[in-house]
Amino acid sequence: MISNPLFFVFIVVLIIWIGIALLLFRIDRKISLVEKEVSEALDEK
Amino acid sequence: MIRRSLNFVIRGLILQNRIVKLLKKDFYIEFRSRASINISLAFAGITTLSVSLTSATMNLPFRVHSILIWVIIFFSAMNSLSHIFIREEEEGTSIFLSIHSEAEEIYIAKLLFNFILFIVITVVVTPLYLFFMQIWPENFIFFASSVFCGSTALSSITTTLGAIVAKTSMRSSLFTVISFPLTIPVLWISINLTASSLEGGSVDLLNLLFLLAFSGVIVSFSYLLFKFIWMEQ
Amino acid sequence: MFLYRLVYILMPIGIFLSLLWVPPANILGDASRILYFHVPVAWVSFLAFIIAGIHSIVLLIKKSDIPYREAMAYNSAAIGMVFTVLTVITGSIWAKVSWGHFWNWDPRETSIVILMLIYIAYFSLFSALKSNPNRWGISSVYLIISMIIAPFLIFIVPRVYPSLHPDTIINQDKKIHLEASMRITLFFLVVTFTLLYGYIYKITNKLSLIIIKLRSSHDI
Repeated sequence: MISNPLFFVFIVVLIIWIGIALLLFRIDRKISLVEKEVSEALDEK
Repeated sequence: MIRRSLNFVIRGLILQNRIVKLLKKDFYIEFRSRASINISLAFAGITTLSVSLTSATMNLPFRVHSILIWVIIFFSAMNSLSHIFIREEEEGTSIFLSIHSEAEEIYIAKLLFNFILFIVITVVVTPLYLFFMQIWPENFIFFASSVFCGSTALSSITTTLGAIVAKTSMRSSLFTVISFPLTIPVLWISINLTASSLEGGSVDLLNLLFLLAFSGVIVSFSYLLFKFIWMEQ
Repeated sequence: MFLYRLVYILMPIGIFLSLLWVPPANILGDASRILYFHVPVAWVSFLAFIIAGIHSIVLLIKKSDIPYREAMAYNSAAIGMVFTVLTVITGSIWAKVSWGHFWNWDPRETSIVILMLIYIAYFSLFSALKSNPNRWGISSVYLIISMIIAPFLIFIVPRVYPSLHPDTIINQDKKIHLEASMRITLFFLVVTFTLLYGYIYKITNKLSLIIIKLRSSHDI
């Protein structure tokens, strides 16, 4: 398994995906927060 | 029932009458100044002449001839076909036009105008090209019908895109950008058809029908969608 | 939204399946594994285009929520543009491995390039119409007309002209056959990439909605 070069390709692709996933997750959370804040601020108006 | 069908006929006649009036108006305006038609015809003639001047002595394959014919026709179309809408915008008559007549009438009148103009351009370009390059298609009827069907499809798509482009800020450069991807299938098939007609191949009815079907689909959808382009919502 | 978040789990599984689980294809060997990324990405780029077109049709019919629907069509096209570029890149790598050239003007390659040109034209039209209050109508009409032409390009042209491409939609006898495990992996990755598209689409739509709300509150 370890000697298979595809295993290293798999690890590299997985690390890239983890990076993209973290980015996506952070953006998702931030936008949800902003959405809540904006709707509250608009309601107060 | 009879009344309804009679109503329909009367409405059709009124629509036809108004379309003819709009068409007449366009022809009067265009021929009064004559500048735009002269320029587009001159453009087509000059490109044909320059191509033949530089390559008449060469013995080009028929495929290259067909590509050259369609490149000349395509760029002449790009130069002249959006003009009819851009003129309305530049002279400030577009709002008056949209108050005065229905979107469908405007569309059909402009489509007919562009169609006639484009046929005139191809009638000028193709004989000139054949004359200067000293070639003669083996199957003349097939050649003529391929050029005719190709220019029908081209003029039907560029009429709608010309109306779109007249509403934007950067006109002539944008027109080429937005019309290129949509005219590619037409150009591709027309080039193949013309090449095979020059080589003397048998009549390819399927592809000719494809071009006509293409223009039919485009014209019917543009008829429905034109009011969203031209009218202020 | 939960359904789309499944992509966090499904994507590593898909990468595992495509790289380690599936046996290599007969002729191409391990290089054929790019198939499991190329086909889903190409599928998403067409899907995004169709969804942008559907939103434009709905916008023209309903004529309500204009800024939001317009933004939805635009966002789908923006994501589709990225996926189209990815399709071209993965496709040309695969073409280099299997046919020897990065670019062959194969009918399917031509149709993806034309799709990319349509996207570029749409964005340039969109930016050129910035000052026009009627932008939503005109850009929707352009998307709808190009969506009418797309079937001519995608389905008719590759069938009229001979293609080097293996046909992934209908497997005829002369084409490459996919084994069951390959089929499962491919299907799995198509679903995963569709979810990824949907997830990004939802996020961008939320953002556009926030921007529209803020703008309208400023106007009041």
